[in-house]
Amino acid sequence: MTVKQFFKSNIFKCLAALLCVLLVCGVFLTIMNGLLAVSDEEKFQRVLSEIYGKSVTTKKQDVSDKNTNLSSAIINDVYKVEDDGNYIVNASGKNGYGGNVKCWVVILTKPDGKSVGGVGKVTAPIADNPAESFLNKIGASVYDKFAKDYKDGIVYSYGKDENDKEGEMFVKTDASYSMRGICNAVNGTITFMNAFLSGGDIEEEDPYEDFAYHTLINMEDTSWTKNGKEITYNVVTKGNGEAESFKISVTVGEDKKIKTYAITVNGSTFDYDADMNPAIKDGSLFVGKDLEYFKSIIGEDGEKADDPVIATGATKSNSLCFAAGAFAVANYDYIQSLKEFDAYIDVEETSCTVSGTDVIYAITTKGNGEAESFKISVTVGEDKKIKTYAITVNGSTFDYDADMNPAIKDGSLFVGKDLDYFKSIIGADGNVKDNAVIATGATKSNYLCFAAGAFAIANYDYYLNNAEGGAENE
Amino acid sequence: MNKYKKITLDGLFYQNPTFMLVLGTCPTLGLINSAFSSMGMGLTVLVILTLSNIIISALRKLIPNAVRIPCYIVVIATLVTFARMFLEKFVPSLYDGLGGFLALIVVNCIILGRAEAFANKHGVLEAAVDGVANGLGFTVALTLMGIICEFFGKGSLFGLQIMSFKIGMLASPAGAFFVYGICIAVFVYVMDGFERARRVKANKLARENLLKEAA
Repeated sequence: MTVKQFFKSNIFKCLAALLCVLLVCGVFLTIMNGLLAVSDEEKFQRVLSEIYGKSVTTKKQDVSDKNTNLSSAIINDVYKVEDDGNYIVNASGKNGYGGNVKCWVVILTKPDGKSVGGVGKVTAPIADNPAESFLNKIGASVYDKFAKDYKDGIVYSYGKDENDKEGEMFVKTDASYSMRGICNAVNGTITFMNAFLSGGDIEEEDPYEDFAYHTLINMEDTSWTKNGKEITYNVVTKGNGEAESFKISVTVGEDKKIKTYAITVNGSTFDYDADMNPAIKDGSLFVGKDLEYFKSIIGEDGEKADDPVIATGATKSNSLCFAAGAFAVANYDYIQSLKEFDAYIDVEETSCTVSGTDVIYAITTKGNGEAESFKISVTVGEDKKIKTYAITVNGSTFDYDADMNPAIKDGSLFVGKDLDYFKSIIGADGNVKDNAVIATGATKSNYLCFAAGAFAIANYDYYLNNAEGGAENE
Repeated sequence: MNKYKKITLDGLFYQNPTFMLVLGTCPTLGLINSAFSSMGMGLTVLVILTLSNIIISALRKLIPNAVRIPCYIVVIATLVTFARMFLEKFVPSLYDGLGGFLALIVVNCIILGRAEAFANKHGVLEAAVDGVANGLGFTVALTLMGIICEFFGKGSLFGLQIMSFKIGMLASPAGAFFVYGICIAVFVYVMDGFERARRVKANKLARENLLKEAA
């Protein structure tokens, strides 16, 4: 086809028509966006007028020296309303339906102004939360409950919890997960404001307090896999000054020394990368090192950063690399002792004995929705495959028992299966709950049976050494 | 019959998009627990449908047949984005009330359906009348069901509390489905009645004319 033929062809006409339509529409929307875009200031004024019904004077508070990233919410902005002395807080509640739920929370103070005395109006504008599809289902009367139900020390739980269960305070909104995010926003705001008003620190339990050297580690994104006596970590660090998050793969051996160390994502910015210690950058400095070495460089508390090995001109980046190594070696024993696939297992009620190379479990599961606790006897052999599997107490309720997969009910499905099989059904992290093998009408019960099997195989090594009759107890 | 009258009656009654063609069901079931949201959605669709019909009819001779659907989608998406911007700026309460369903108008089958079935075969004025008629038919149907669901499901009308008695199920999508079904049944029954009466009247006239001619 010649150029002339192309310009006369139908292909060209189609392309031209499509491009023209796209261009005109794009230009039109660009102009309209310039004219109609709602600024953050305008949104804030709308919130104020919705809350107060009139114009009020506000003053933004400086919260830069406070921890604004709480376990339940992120505090975005805090304003003091000059007219009545209350505070308006913009907070993003974690764990909503489509992520964080951005809310505005009015906080009333006690007469001395040193602590939270109540919750005023709460609102979650739909415009700020496009991922919360059902936010418009939550009516004003539900938002009003925050103010009505407030008392000192309250932790709101109107939405469904992590296990899909309705708490004592549950209210039906048709948007339970968005409501969970809103509750988190209000709870986080109260915690933050109590600390802000009193000038104290935020008293929150650190869910990772059992881990050593985790201050610079992003614990939510860091993962590890146990391979016999070795642990391979995929460490994700936090940012540290100019240095952004690093991703580092570290393997620690039985001797609690680093076997391999590789930076997979280098978070250095502004060319600081070039100033990093080359032996840190390629990981060779860390191979063969134990915890004592790390302590000698970054100190007992992990905060020392003036050692010449680190202070090479890219101190922040080098510190993050040391933090990752220290985290890996320091937590070797703790991570080896952690159970896997235990989210639905009542570990306190679960017992275990060792016979030769067989580990015999008497597992008690937790409840799961309508399904109550199961008791299951499982034997895992040396090849880490299930030898016997028998349900001794079936926790199914409301006749769901009849809908259970028969091969799950009599345990025959599990005999001879290894951990890979369980992972293929319930996922590597145990979060897949809708596989066809499970979803037979008694999904919750079937899932608990799978969880018990996965728990038994995944923790074989640990119990072989630590259970009654095991190597460590002989 | 005047062609504009026919287009109007088709959009409003004989081919009512909600009750006769059962189109645009997603926003219908999602929003009819509130009369205000239902009416707002109906009016928004009316404006977008009319504008899209006009634009597509005006461009019908310029757009090659092979790429007409992508072009229509781009036009409709542009109008919906514009409507979102407009409502967010000037009617934020309605914008909040419509929630995610506002963006979903892009894939509302009434709009693409009328573009494909009518606007690309007729002139601008006829397309505009068709858009208004279908939009009105959709708006009236949605508002009517919104009133029923909100009144019996929440005991209120357009947000104004009227009574404490309520049947909560009717304020949920399942209840909306139930009300939608009943409304379709009643509408089809009434339209059948009209159609039967019209046919009887036409037959009677034809018979009288025949008799007159015979005499």
